[in-house]
Amino acid sequence: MAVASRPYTSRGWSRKTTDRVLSYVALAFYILVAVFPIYWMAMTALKDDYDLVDVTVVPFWFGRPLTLEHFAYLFTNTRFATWLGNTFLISTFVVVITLVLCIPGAYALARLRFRGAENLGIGIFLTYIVPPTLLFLPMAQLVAALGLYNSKWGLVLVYPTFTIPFCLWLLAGFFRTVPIEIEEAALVDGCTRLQAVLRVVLPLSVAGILTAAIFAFTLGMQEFVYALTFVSTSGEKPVTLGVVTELIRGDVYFWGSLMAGALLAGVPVAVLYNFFLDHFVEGITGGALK
Amino acid sequence: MEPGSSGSGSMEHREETGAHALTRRQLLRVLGAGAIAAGALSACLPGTQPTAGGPGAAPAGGQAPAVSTGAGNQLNIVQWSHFVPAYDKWFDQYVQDWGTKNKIQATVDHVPNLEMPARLAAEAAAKTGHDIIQFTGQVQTYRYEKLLVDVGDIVDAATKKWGDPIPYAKALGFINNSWRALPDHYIVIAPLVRDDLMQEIGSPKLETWDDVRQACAKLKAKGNAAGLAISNCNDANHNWRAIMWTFGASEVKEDGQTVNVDTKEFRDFLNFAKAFYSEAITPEVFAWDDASDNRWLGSGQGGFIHDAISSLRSIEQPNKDLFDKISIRPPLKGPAGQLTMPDANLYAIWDFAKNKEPAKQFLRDFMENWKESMVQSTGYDMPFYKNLFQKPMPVIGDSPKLQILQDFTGDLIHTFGNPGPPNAPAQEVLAAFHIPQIIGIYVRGNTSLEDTVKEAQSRLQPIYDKYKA
Repeated sequence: MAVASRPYTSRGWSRKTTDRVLSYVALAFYILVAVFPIYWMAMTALKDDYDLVDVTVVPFWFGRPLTLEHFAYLFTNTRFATWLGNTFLISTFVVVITLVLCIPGAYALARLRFRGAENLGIGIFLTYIVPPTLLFLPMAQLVAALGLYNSKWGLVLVYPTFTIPFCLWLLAGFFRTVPIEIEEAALVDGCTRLQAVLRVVLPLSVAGILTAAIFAFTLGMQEFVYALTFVSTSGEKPVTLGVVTELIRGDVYFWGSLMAGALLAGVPVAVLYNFFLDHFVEGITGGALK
Repeated sequence: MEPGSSGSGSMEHREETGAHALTRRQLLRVLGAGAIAAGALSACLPGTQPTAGGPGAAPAGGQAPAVSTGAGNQLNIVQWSHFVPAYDKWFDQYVQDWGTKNKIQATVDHVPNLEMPARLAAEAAAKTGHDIIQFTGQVQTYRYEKLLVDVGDIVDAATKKWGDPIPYAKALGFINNSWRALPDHYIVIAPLVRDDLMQEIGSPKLETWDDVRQACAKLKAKGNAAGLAISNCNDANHNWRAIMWTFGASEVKEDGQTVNVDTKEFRDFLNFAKAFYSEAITPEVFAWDDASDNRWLGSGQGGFIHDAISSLRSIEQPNKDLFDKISIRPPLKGPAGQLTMPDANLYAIWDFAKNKEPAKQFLRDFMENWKESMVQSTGYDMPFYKNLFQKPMPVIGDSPKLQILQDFTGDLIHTFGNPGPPNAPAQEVLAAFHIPQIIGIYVRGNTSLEDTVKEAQSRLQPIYDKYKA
């Protein structure tokens, strides 16, 4: 073994080992914090109702046999599949709208030196700070005027109002990290501005664009206030609203099914994050350094 | 090398076996395309309906149509997600059958009771939405008075059939000489007691809140404290108001305008709350929501709670043994009387509704079914009209455990704003949870009685002043 064959020096061994142990301890702590809610969610989804409140059993494990009845209830007594489908549909459209508007907008903010560009960028980002609890009333008038009340397409229209400011800022930061010399070289070689963007800047910015897409998708998935106030027909609801509507009845919470629903909605996104992890980290940190 | 592959050895192995291994990119493409296709199909096609009878089940005709954009031949109702999923199933079917019979496209949507005010605020702002709305718990008839149709003719018809509305109903629906909402039902809030634990401490009498305090002090020592939320939740709002009123205290005078917290009665009430907190309940109640006392009772630890019978019903199926040990007691008394605060549900019609006549007709027809409504709600829904209180009442009248609920009416129940009307400032005080917050400030022990009263005055006065102006 490498460790056994290498002579220990107290200094080298202790530094490396200590660093490694500390890294793992920190990582273990982080994993515990990050994974515990998902573990708790899965446990709750698989426990029977009395097991959830029985204080005589260890709360972190099963006191009674596992049950799939909460999952079965979700699919046989609610329109969970429809809500999930609505959520993915809404989020997909939101991603498309966000990217179509943000890529040229962010590029303009990052590269085109027009008067007031910086203030405009800050102004756009500030709109992200205004919470939906303040905006839903005027937004309701707008959605109603467009005839999109009680329709998931109303949400497709409204959600970009909070995904665009964030993604615009994110992408503008990322575009600034692409060396301008490369773009200028493309222009010198005969590219138009548009060609330079399409053939040089965008391929180099895939990580940032993916990150913006993931953010827009998850922001669209999480939203609740606009969904609650603009949509009430069961077949039009996204999953965040549907499970709450059908599984919270007065002070009776269907905890098992609520957690089963959250788990089923959250797992695909977690898998998606995992696949794009490298790009995601690059996208997040790309705009941080220049 | 593609991320995820394991080098040349792996490649060779693939070639040898002829297996078609997916790269991460290929897998992503397949998964992405599949998810988008499934999502789009699921959202666009009416083929993913739940089985009939589920709480989210759509009418048999398929996906529920969107809210009305036309007028006259449609009807759209929004109401809370009832405690009992089967009730919603029955009601939804009733609406559909009524629509078929009257050749009207009728739909009903459900919203959780706590989220209803936000939904109604959006509809009022947009001047569009449902035709019939339901006020549930936080009744906002005063707030939306000018946006609601007069439903006096429907109340008259209901009175003719079911007798006079009880005073509680009139307080909520009758505003400035007109009925702005049709009182439909209310949910009783009652003392729920663990009889077996009370027997262990000598079966003390439990007629007053002070009796409960003394008994629960003993139970707390045994690990079976009482559970009364002191937090921003509905339960805290109605429980502490009930106690406040039995001490003769109130947040406002009978005129509904003059703040009334700088009184001896309010101070007595605060002192009782402090004693009750320190002796009979535990600090976790500061973080409770509406379902927490249900869990406390359902866990087998709670000796006493004060809540709707949902907390009892939700125990019945998973733990029948515990269910049998719990009894419902009469409304508790205080030095100044005996009062509770139920949660009321009333139907109203928006003034901007596109289908006012079908809406009125629906309510006129539905009120004929109130007895059946009580049956379908399995005893949750209590009527607002005197003749419906003839004993034995449906469901609860035949149940030894529930029949006591038949007495939670008349002078024993009142609504927020008592002794004044449940007007807009009273509703705002309710919605902002000022009363439980003020209690929380005092019982923690860091604020003196006088400072707490000043704090209460400083919070409530601007709200009532705002509406005077």
